[in-house]
Amino acid sequence: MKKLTLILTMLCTTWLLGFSQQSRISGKVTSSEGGAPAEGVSVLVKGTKKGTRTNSAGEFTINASTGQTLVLSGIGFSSKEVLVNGNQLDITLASTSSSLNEVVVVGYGTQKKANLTGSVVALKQEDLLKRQVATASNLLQGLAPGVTVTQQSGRPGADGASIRIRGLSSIYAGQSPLIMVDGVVSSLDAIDPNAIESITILKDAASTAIYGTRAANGVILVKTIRAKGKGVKVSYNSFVSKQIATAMPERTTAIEHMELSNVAEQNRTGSPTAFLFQQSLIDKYKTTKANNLDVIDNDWVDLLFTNSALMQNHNVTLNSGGENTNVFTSVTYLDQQGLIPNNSYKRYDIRFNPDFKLRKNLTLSGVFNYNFSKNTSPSTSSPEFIIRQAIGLPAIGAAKFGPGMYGTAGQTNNRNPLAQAEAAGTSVSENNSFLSKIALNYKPIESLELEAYWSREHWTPHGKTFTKNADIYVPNLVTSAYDKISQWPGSTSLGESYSSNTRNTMLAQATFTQNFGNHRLKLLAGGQSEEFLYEGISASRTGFNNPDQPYLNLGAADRNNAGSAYQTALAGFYARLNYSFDDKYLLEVNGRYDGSSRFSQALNKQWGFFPSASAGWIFSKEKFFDGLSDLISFGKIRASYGLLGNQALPEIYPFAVNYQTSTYSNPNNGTSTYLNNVTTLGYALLDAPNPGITWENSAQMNVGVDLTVKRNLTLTFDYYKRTISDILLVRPIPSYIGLSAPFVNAGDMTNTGWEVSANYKANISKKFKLDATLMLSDVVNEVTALPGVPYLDAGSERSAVGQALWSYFGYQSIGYFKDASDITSSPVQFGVPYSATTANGPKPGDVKYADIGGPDGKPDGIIDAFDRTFIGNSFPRYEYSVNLNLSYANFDLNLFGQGVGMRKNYLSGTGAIPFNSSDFVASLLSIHKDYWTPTNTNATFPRLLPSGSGGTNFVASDKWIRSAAYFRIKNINLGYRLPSSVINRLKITGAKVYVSGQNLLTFTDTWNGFDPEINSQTGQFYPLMKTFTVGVNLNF
Amino acid sequence: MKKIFTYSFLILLVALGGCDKFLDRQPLDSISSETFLATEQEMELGLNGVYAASFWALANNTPLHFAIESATDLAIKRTGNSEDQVAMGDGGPFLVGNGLTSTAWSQAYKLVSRANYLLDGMKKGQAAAAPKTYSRIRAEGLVLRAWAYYHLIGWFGDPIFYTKPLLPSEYETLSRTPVATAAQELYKDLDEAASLFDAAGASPIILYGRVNKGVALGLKAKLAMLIKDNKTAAAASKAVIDMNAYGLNPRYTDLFMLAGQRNNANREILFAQTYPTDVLDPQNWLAVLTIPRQVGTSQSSHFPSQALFDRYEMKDGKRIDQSAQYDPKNPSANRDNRLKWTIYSQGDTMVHNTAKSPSLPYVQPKERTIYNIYTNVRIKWNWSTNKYDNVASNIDWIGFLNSPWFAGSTGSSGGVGYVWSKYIDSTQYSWETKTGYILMRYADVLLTYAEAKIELNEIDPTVFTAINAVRARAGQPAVTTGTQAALRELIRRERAVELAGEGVRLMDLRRWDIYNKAMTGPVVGVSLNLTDPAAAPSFDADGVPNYTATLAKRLKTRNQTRENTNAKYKLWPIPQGELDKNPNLKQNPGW
Repeated sequence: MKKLTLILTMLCTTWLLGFSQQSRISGKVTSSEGGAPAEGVSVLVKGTKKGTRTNSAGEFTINASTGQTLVLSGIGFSSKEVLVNGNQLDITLASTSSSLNEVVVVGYGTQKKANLTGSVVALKQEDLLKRQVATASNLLQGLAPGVTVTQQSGRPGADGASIRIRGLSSIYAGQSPLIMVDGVVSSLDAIDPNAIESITILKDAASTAIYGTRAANGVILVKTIRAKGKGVKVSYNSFVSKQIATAMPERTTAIEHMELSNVAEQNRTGSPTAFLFQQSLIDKYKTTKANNLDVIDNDWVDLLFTNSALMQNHNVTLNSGGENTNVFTSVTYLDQQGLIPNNSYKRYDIRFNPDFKLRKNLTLSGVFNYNFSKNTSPSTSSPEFIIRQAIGLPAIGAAKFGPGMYGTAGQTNNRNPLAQAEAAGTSVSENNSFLSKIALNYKPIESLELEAYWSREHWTPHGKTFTKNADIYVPNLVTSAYDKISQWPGSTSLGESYSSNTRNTMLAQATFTQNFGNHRLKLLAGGQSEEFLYEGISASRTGFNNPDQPYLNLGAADRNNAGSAYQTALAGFYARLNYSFDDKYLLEVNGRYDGSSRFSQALNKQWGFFPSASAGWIFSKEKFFDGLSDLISFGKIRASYGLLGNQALPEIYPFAVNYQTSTYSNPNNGTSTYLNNVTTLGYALLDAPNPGITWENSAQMNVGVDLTVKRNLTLTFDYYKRTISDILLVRPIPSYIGLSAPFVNAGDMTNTGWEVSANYKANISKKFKLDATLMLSDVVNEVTALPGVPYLDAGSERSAVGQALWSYFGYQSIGYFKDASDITSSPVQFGVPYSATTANGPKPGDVKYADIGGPDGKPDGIIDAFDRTFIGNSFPRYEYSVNLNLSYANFDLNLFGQGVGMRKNYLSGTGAIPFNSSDFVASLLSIHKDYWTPTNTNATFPRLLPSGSGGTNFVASDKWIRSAAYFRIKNINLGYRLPSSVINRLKITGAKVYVSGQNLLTFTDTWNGFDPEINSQTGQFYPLMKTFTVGVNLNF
Repeated sequence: MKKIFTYSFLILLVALGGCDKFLDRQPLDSISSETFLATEQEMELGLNGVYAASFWALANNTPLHFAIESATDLAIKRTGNSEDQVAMGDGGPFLVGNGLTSTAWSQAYKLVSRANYLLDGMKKGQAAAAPKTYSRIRAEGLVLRAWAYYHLIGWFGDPIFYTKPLLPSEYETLSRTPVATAAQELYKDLDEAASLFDAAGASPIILYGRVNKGVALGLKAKLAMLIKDNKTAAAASKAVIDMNAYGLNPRYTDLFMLAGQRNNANREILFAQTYPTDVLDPQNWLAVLTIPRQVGTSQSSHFPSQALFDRYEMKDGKRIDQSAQYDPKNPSANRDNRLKWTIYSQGDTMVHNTAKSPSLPYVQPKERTIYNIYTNVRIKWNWSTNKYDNVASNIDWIGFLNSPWFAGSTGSSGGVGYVWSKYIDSTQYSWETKTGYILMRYADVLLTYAEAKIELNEIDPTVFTAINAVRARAGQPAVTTGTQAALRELIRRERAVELAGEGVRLMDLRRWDIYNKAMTGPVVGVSLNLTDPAAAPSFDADGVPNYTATLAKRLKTRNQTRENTNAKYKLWPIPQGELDKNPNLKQNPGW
């Protein structure tokens, strides 16, 4: 505090010295583009050294005499000389590069884009609303280099994308960026895109360190709209979209299924006469039309995809501006239907953002947001599993004979995906959420701004999963009718859960801004606290007699209930210093002292300090650069470094472990004892606690260049290195500890990458405007240390030092075995030598693997687990996007394409394996028809084998790793603004109609029917959607 | 307004200042390591969790102590298993990664760890707990931890002696503590436990399955014997005797039957590994493991040895090589009663319960078989005709007479002509047996006392009283005089025959320094031909039988020879993984 007083005194002194006998001139500077206040414009009295700068409202005061000339100059504006002819001047500066003048939201404040020293991407509403999607996370795809947005599902209510900023950062802890909406932690998918004014993505440590323990994965700041201007404006925005699966594998017909099943059986047995389906049956199918009785030929996907898959969104916003009161209101309704029955998502969103000017220097503002969502899906299996069955089931499986009459699907357990989707009950989750935020903003003096807010968000998810019976019928060939044979699943049940979730956020901060001469100083200091409280209950019963009364009271048996609760809290103190000299030399220093309840208070592990610093040099302002300024109108070099934390460990209380209980006592994890031969419940620690656990740490270095070439081409380049340390690992511990190994902070990894973006804006003619953006980025992840752990395995993926996190790990295939002598002269495959007489072991047409290792690391003539190696990973590289905005007169067109230059995708399960036997009796896909035969040796697939007999053909190998590189036309949006003649007649102020389409075209090498954006395909997915949209915006 | 704002701003800052309380969030809906053991009830639950860790077993519901017994000279385990590898020594081969020794290591240390968490964690609730309850729980925790360390010392030598919960940073810093140092600490713990039991007013026995004052002192005596501190052993076992709280069950066989254990006449059982009768799992599968396969669904995997069989005295109190009563053609006649209570041999009627009857109690059907190893016939009781039937295909114990017994890989038997009868409780279905496995009983305390006094050469009437109490129950004549050497040989024999199969043998071999000798030699069995039987073996001064002279006439299982002359076999090896993780640990000599 003493230091602050000293600085204040010094500043005041400087300011006082500036007074002279001249009169005081005040003025306001606005930009030619949109009339926005021009902040930070230098104002000099010509021929003197007297100068000042405009504040955030564009205002300035200076002492000058009438007749003197003021020279105004600022980044992004043409310089201008103004004659002093009164005490109040209103000056408009011609904007040269408007984007540089933009004020962007940064952590706990704003910053002029030109003065940014960190790596920050700012997006405005108009950038976002060109795509019509249900969830805001998808809007970010391709709009910010280094921000990897991957959508893995098109399922209504669950189609949000995962966001990774600058690579993968952890093994067990959270990798998602911190998302703050109006200063409150939130999720991008919880916010209505219609209410977003801007999104800022903070990528480097300099920008994020002010968020301390939550900054390591980057930060996304969302600002919702606040009312502007005077008067009342109402707008209505609406669209309707038809959704279609981007890709579905083509299925085989009943005849193909039977014939190929026989081929597979013949291959398995080695007998050319072996069969699973009699030829007479196949012949009957060839001569008789499918009758759903004794000739059944179903396309399960067609039968299942009967929902409308329509999405509609209606939004009304009201913008009311008054003398002292501004109110923004938004009401939105979204309805998204899925591909399959009983699968939909609904959302209502009501937002009220008022601002009250209580005094000239005191503002009260609020955010009130009510949000309701309802997510419906079938209860007995996930929609993804139901779709996988539809892809995989044989066409000869009976599906449905009439309303409520379902077939067995050819399964002994009678599980029929159609019955599951239509008749076996639904799982509904509803969520009511209410957010209130009240903020006060007070400016006791011009240079000091105090701000405080309190927000409370409360949401109460309610889940209800009701399972009821579907009737299963079989055809009766004698009566030509259908006999009911059983019910599926055979029992009824209801599970319900309620929870209460509360997040309280408090903040108080002060910003001090002062300019003296060419020195500009901005100081920010504040504190923030946040707590999250959860409490939930759940209950379930079985034995419901009436399928229309899904209420717990009516369940006869298995009455179960449970309750749970947890809490977290965070507190932090942060500060930032911005200093610039002569608008050329920029310096920013950030720091946060952050405390988290997730760590041990007893061991003093809760608090950490996270500093960062960045500097920039606007070299284009240097004298020596004058000659080049026509070519390069703006040029900046920046560099940053900072330390960050990641407190999102997998446990809420990682410093503690639970004492656990189990009735069964076995020597390994039993906790009960049997005193007097009676089970006596006990509690014991099974996992070792690590009270000393702490956040994962990271350091990030970033260097960047921003250039504006010829005033309308802007280029940004960034290079960074993220070094992540203290990554949580489970390191095996000696067994004399008597407990399972705890998480310890031990591992290291790095992400090294670069990002380029180029934007070209041109007004080719008065009517024809062009705005094009190209982006390209790459990041390489490398695990650099896993102390005490040789590697981590997760199925077909492995993490090891020197490799990217979770790289695919498997065998190297070298084609197919040509013939018996090829097998006998090759290394022994998985310990089974060639035998012509048994079904076991490799045969011609099986996948041949390379002998690359052995117990001592050298090829040993045996194919076994030692012959596995790293065969790529699924994290995208060379991500790029093209975003083209054209407007001609009243038309505007957005073309947006996004792609990935290099990526691997491992295909397994129903997708890769003909007659894949896990979970159900399956058929094969059309792609599988290209199988190996002595005459088709270049086939995609090995020789055909029946269910469960694929031998070693489908072990994880590079054979099933396919390139998932793609380029996709993500969006085409063509809009037409109604001409004023029409608008006037309609007595409205503006109207626009548009059509748009998403994911319309895809270029990829992945197998037909498999979306390249979905990772590690097993045939179990909810397809991404190709959408066709019609929309309208009306302004009143 | 300005003031209001300024004040609220300041209040906010102050509120933020109260951070420590704000950030102190503990698990709410679970029992957290940070807060647990704060109340009496929680301490009881935590103690039960420690007891759970004293439940030591291998796969197949095999009590660990019984598995270890099968790796001693008194027993045999089916070939190829980890117990067999340990017993075979060089011929096993007994390697560092052996499953039996690794399991014993990790299960015992799990008990140490859990006891440490209890003893440390319960301190936070001491003020709130009733002193008597607190004392008893602490005492039980101390005894259970000492129980683990007693075994670790006996099995592996110098223990990793730690008595507090550890932080992960400390895990790999521990090193081994000399046995003598650890033992002194354990003496203190056990003395404290004994006095805490007194303070709690819960001294003699609390509940079947719990440890008590008798166990505390009895364990102290066993530990003292292990480190040859006979003085302490004598005093501690005397203290148990002087409690007058325990005695011998007049019916030896009741000790090994569920009903008899529940009754626990005279509280002979001080401590046992108990099993639940209210739920199905776990069971004690001693019967499953020992019943021959052809009798019913069972394992045929654990067997008594010839060396045990031959140690039982004749009814006249003499060793078989010394008594005129011994008939090599009918070797089980006129023997110490404990022979039949422990071992089924040729001609004995075996009753097993290997098939679950439709309703409780599982009494029928029982398999009654006359043990017959010399013809290819199984003599099986027919419950319908109430007669014995001769059933062909007596494969389990015939067929090896012409070729080495079960040299093949079927492994359905590896016995030498004997089957355990101890712990066979045919009132229970063998696959659901709930009989407890005895870990300490009063007869052991009496014999420990006698042995300690003999070793101290303080041979007074109390020594004979103790020995004769045990012998009298078995119907063996009293011993009234003897030299120290003679009594030493006697007490060692007495321990073997009284406690066979009860998991104390390995420690006995270790402390008598006869492991290498007793565990070396061919695995022999019954006479191949009863018309030309093998004579009784000779016995050395330590009571170890020598079969060299009769080898040709004896069954030699698998033609195998136990090879444990290497001095390294005096201790088990520490599992390699432990040494790899902690360089401060040093392997036992020779391994």
